[in-house]
Amino acid sequence: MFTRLDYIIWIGIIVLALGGVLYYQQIDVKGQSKIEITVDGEVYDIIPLTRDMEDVSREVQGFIGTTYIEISGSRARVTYSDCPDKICVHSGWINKPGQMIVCLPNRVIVQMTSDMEQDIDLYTN
Amino acid sequence: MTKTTKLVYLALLITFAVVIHTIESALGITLAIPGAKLGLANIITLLAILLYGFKSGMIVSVMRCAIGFLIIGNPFTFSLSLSGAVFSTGIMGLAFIFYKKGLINVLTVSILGAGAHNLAQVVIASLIIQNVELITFYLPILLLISIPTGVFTGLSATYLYKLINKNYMITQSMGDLKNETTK
Amino acid sequence: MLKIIFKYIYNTEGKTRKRAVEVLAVIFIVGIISFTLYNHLGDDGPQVSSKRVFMMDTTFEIVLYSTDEGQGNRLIDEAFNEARNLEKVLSRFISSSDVDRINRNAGIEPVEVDPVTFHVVEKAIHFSEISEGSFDVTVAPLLELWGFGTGEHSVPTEEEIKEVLPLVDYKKIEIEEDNLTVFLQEEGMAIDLGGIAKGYIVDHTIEYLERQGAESAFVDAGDIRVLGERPDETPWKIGVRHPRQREDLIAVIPVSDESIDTSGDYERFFIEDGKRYHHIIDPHTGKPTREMLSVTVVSPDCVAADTLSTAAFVLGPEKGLELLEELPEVEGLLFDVNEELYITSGLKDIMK
Repeated sequence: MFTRLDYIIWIGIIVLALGGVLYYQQIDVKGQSKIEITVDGEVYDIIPLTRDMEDVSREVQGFIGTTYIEISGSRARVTYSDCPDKICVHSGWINKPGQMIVCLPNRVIVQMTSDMEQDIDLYTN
Repeated sequence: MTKTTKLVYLALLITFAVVIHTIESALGITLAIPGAKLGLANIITLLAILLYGFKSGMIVSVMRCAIGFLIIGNPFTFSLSLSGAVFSTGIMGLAFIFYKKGLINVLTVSILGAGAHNLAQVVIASLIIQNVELITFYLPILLLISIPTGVFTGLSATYLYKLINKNYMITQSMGDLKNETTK
Repeated sequence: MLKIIFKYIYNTEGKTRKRAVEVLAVIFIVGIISFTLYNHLGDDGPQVSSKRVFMMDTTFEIVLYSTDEGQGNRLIDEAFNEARNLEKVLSRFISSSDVDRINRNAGIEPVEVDPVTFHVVEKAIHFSEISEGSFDVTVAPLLELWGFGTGEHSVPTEEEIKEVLPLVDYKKIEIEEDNLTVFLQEEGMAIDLGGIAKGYIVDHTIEYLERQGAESAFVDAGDIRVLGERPDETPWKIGVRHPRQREDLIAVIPVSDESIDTSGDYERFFIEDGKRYHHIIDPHTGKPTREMLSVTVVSPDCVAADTLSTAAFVLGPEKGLELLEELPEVEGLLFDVNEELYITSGLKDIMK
């Protein structure tokens, strides 16, 4: 009833489909994404994410010490921080608008925002 | 005489296909891409291929799109449905050869048909809107959908085929195709 | 499970098979119906209709929210018809248009024009007066000199500029209301209603939509004007891009029932010998200004937004800000070559 070839074809289609889904995860979400670094509630730096951009690193002085942030390939992470628990470091990479890494003791927030969040209707220029 | 009978039955098939196509359009079932269809009319196309072979299937497909467009549709949906229909019929025709040789199951034929249908629709849609990203975004989910859709289409077409096979007059018009395709 | 279904349909006969098929058919039909209903759930919400055409040398887009998409589309088509009719009258490039005749009769005799044209010229003079000549529709000969009309850009010599400068003076436009005539006093003078005409058409289009009962819409022809607010009753959000780094925003301005326009040095320009020469020419000096990167103005109508953004651009950061602050109901945002942002007080309040 169902031959080997049948199964091969079905699996092939599923693989193609899933492959496409995975590939799409890698692409920049619509709109311009930016990494926004806030220290103590105030914006410290905003780094726009563009394709093919070089790696960027930042050393941010927070409430209790330094937080090291790395931005690479449209993602960001905290590589080291002076806080005791290092939760921020363990958070790993953020790669979608809305995601954020928080270092509570140091009061540093690394967040990804995008135009979509800003919800722009039109551009005047 | 056989030719005329075949013509009449082809016309009947086209009519059914058009009806399904129209209802599908009117219901407004949109899978994210405006105008992209579920491809249920492919049941008839597959049926036509099973009964009369690839050429007839293609005729039914194209006519279905043309007449369907006259009833309800705009140039946008027309190009989508035509490309979907033609491409999927083509692929199904190809797969049909494998089927006749016993290499694959008829359900796989219709799954491939559904997959091809969706693929063509996505490609044409992205060309029209001029947005290549459309393909990468919608294709994966559409491909996954094509499996259950294909299964349903295939089951329906097979069921109808069996019903029809019982009717002697129709089988008469099929000539020696009848013996080869019963499986 | 697939096999079970398949076996049933394929191999069983009689009642069992019939039952199986019936069950499947029912499931499928119910599925389709619920899916359809679900899909059409949003149908009583605000429907969006939109259309974009190429007009006045740019893309012209109308977007409208209504309760019926079809009606919305029809309204938009009608609005475009109106706009096209206006274009025929106001375009400089359609020969036998009013503007063309006015220019050809410069220094010769007054030209009788369409009331629309007259009205536009009147407004142009008005804004020239307010801005003390920083906005001036008689700059056409200057634009030609720099090559912005033909596309053959070149930096003119000081003598060439001196020669043309006298022809640039809005006070030398003579209009007479009773006969609806416009007269350019000196031979060689010419007016270009391009920018202001676009604003006029945008205004007219929005007013048309409003008269027809639209409540939430916008027109975007580069110059933007919005009608009402978004369907969710929040103001429209207009992004102002950074003049040099286009992926960045320098501001997001909420607007309702008003117009917003930006003049920038990046819209039309050429570079010669490493220097950038853009198309916003100071009517007093005859050369492109060097102080501003972009100016954004918010104002109740589009003609004002368009002309004032040009005027403020020419005036520079301080004088430009002054002008915008002075005018009631006008707000703006100026971005100068040092990337300093100057914002009018009214705007500061409503922006983040």
